[in-house]
Amino acid sequence: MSSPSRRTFLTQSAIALAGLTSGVGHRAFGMARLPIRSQQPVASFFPELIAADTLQALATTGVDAARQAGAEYADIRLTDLRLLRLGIELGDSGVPTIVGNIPGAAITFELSYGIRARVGGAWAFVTGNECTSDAVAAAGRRAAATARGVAASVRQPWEMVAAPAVRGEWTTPVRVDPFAVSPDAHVNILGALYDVGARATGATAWPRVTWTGETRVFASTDGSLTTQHLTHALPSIYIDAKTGVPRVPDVMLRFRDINPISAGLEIFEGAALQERLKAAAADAIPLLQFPIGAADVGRYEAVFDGTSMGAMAAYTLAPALELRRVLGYDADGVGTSILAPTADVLGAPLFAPCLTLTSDRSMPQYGAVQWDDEGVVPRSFPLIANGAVVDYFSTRATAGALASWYSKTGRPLASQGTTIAQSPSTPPRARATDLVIASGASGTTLDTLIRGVKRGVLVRSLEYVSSDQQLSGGAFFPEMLFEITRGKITRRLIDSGVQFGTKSFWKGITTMGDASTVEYGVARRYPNAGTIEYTPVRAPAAHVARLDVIQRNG
Amino acid sequence: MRVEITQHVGADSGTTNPQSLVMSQEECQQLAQLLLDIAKPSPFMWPISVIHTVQSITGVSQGETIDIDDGDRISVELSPGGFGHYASVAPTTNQRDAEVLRKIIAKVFAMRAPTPPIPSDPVDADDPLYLMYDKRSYVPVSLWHESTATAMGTARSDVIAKVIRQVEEAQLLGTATIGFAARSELFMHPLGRLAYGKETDCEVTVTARTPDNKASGWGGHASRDWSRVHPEAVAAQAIDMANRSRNRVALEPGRRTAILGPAAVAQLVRAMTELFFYDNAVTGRSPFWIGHRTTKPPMTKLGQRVFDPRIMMTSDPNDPEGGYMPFFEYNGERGFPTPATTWIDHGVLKYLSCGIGTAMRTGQTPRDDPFSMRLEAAPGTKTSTIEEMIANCAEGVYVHRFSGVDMVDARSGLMTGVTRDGCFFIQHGKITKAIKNFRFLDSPIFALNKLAMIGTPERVAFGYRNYGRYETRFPRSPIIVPPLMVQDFNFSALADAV
Repeated sequence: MSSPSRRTFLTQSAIALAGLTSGVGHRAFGMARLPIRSQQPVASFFPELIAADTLQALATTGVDAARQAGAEYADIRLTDLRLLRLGIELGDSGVPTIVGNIPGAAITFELSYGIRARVGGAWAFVTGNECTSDAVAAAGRRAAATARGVAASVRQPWEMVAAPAVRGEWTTPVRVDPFAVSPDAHVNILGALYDVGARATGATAWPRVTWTGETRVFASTDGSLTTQHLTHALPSIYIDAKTGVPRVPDVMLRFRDINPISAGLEIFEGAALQERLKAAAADAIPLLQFPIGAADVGRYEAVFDGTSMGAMAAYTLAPALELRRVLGYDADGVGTSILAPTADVLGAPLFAPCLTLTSDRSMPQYGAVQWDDEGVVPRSFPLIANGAVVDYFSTRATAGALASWYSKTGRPLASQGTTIAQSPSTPPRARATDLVIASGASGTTLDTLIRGVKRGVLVRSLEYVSSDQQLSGGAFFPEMLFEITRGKITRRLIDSGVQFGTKSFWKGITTMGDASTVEYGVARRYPNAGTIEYTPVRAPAAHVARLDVIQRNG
Repeated sequence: MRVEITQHVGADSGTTNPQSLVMSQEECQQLAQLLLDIAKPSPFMWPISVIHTVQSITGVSQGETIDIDDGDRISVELSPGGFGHYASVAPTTNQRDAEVLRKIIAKVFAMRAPTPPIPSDPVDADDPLYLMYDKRSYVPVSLWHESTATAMGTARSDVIAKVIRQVEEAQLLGTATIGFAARSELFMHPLGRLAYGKETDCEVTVTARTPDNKASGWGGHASRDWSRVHPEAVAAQAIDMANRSRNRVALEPGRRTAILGPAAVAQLVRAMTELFFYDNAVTGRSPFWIGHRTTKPPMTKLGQRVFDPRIMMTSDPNDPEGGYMPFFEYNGERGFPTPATTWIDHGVLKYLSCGIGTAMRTGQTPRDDPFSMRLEAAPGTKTSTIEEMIANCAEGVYVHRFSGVDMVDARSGLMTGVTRDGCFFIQHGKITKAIKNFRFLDSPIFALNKLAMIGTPERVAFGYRNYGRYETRFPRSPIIVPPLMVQDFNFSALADAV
């Protein structure tokens, strides 16, 4: 299918929308109150982007200054960032009326840089937002001077893993640039999705999205110079079915067909998507019909849907596999890792043989890049293979800690390209991202897994897991927890929670669901002041042999 | 028109004038006035805020400096303001070049369109709500300390060396964070409101672990005044906790008397902040809500006793242990004076936080959320040291601090987390053994109603990492709390974590 022009895309969407909306639609509820009204493309509301060659020149100036000041290595990231956040939410009245729904929006323009320098094995990182040659050069000198000042404290620095110098330019392939359409078009699309959900009686769909447009330049004293024009989407549509019963949480499901991705507005395109959303909204209603009860405290079999398995991985395995944490660097902060020390963990069969976890930053995963924030090409690589940890998330600076393992397994020591600076003003770190849990044999659907349970629980749409400081265990208190009796869902359980040990949970998986059960889980972590990290995980449903169910009231 | 703004240098730059670390009032005003001049043709009101933050953060691990994060950041935000036109597009930028700002404003204007006013917007200059934006006076505060500003450029190397040496001499593995921040903030409204403040802050935290990784201890101290921070004492506390935590044994979970150190209490109090939001209280997302949603007006527990009568909870911009800027931002509305507030008076809930719209509707005074708070004993209450609490405890658990505390159920304030860096069993008035960590599942609302003894408050450090949804600054807003002894605290399960 050829890519439609923007006009064609919008026309087609409008036709599709018209076919699905009737009676009271978004025009009735909110257009008059929408704050953003313009036919101009969103991009026109931002200042002209700084030319790429200007950013490149600034980048080169910064690392050259650091080198002249004595840095044995330096790199820099400069970013021209545009953010557009849109959503449909309840108004301040808290009453779900159409008139009360007011879309919220914010728009951010930022130019910033972060320069990192290494002297005598010591690192320093300096940030700024005045993108002039003088300011960037001063930052480079300052980074080198600061690193030199603490170099005496470094005993045996890891050697930086070699990586070829890279030069080039890359653009996220998108079909409809979200910054090339008007605010009116954005609001029309979200409004139409809201209307689709509203047509399922008793349910509401709340769409929201954050679009990130970014020009990111990277340069290093190794001779790398890259320019990437990145587009990322963080969309979500939550389907909310009201119970209307005091103290009984609403049924809240995330629409599984809309997920974090590096793509453009085409993710919302088409009548087929709206039909699926309508069906998903309708599917939420039967979940309201189950009798409500509290779980008996005890040990149960459990089935997790794909979203819930993704959340479990994102909040336990993902951070536990970050080498920085494994090495103890974060002991004074978030904590340490249960997957330490590396010598005892690597290759040992810690988890269920059906667990294979990989990281894949290629297109179209969220955060897809051609080069990571150390100039390394990301590659898909296994972290857990058939239940054994086989790698960690490392940077060029920390990968040296895995040298003996790489040598033992016959691989050249290399960074896998998972170094991420959440923004140029945060230091680059190796972060768990874009994880994929391998699915199981065909035919193992969610229904199949449920039917195989005599007495257990079903966990759906899990969003958050509370882990301890070593990621050795945790707890969650899901609003979508169901009782399974003899292969059928019998009750919805409220005021109940689950406690688990990380190793016993992942070792206790007996069956992975098939490809039809794959869904996204996304962890939101707040590692530093003002920083949000997203860890998307694609995971199938799974059966877990044993889970401890507790009551909230203890 | 180009506005020349003095280049501000960050940490370790050799600056000789700490006062120039952050933008002065004149410089902030110059920038804000530039924006207002650019926006002048517009019929809309544009409150403007300018925030300049300089930070210097150093992470040390196992004898080596592993992190240095020095930042110089500026944020310029045009807040939504309507008065007949509802504009909820809030542009934010970190640029101060006049030409760039001109383009930003021109283009944001193009995104606007007249819309019917919402009921809570003021409609004309005689509207009382309109008058809320006029000139106001602010409580004078003193949040800037030269000792901190100077230390930002000079203390790093010295402190690192001392802390590393101290932990290594104790045969332990040490990780530490030393952080400094300086900040200036200005709010300006075309109707005349002008607020400016600047502050310094600093924090040192140390975690010490035994080489076998089976025991861990922590120490921390935060203050606006670097001269009051003693890194050696912080390291000594971490070392002491680690050494005393060796040879931990498992203790049966269950409800027990708990002596919570200030760091543990601070984590619970920090997590309680959102429970004091008026909007949460009237929509059932706080334990301070009563009645059904349809009740008009919404019913809260204002005026009712919600904690033990020995409890006082206050926020004061001039708190000697912390304090904060005397103006605040609420849902994009900035520059409202922040009065000192007694949230809990002898256990009675006196106030909830709310913004201007809610304040006008309900007859309250706008108040900032209690991100900075002091919990202390009511006047005349006997206070006790931790040692006295232990001596008075027949059987219980001492908790030094928790890992990240998570809200499980906002309606009851039920929270969960795991103890860390020091957890001990108390029998017959003495600590008898180090014990394995626990997961807890309890509500500070319940705990503060089962108070046995209360101590003297102190400001607590939180560390640089592991932030929550509402945290956007380092160090975190001052939380000043005492140790507490509470009955029947729910240690719901053992935790393997060290």
